[in-house]
Amino acid sequence: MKNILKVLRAQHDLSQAALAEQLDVSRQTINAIEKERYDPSLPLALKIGRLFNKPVEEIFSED
Amino acid sequence: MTIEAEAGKNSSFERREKRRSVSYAIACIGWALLLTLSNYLLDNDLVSDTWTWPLVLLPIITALLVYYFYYRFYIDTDEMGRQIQNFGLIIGFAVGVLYLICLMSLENVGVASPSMNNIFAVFVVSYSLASGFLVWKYKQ
Repeated sequence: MKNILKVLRAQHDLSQAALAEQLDVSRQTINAIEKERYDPSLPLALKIGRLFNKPVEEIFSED
Repeated sequence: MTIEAEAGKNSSFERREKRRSVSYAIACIGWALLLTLSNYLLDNDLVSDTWTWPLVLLPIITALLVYYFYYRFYIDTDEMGRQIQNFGLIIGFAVGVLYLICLMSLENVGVASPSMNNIFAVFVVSYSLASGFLVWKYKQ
């Protein structure tokens, strides 16, 4: 699944570690999502959407 | 509070995960050492009858502690960590069962029957390889 997490993180001047802390996941998980190796669960995707104040479908899209 | 304002906080998740994985690793090492010691003492008849049952039960009790620490590690890790663990456990179980079935069938043509130690070793090795593969895949 494609996503714009890296762009959003850069816009908010957040490191992977800081975002991981916000979402209560590991930095490796954030890295894997950004590299589109790992698709987050719906609860985590919703949490990301809430954090950046954007709808999930704006952050994640199908390949 | 904005996300920028909270960005400087320490990673409590990673500290917790490290603590859980270290506890689990210590429990595994403790269990392996106790099992080895118990087997050595019992096999070589180095203890009196009074100590036989405690030595037999000690590795079983520590195995329960290993499960407890693994459970805490599993519950506290994040969703990707759990997916890695699930994959390892599924592959480990599948390969272990396949190994058991193969050897049970081959018993009919004279191949030695499988020992519990071998089945456990096959499970651990395939679990480790499968988990390691997924960690490697996500890190690419």
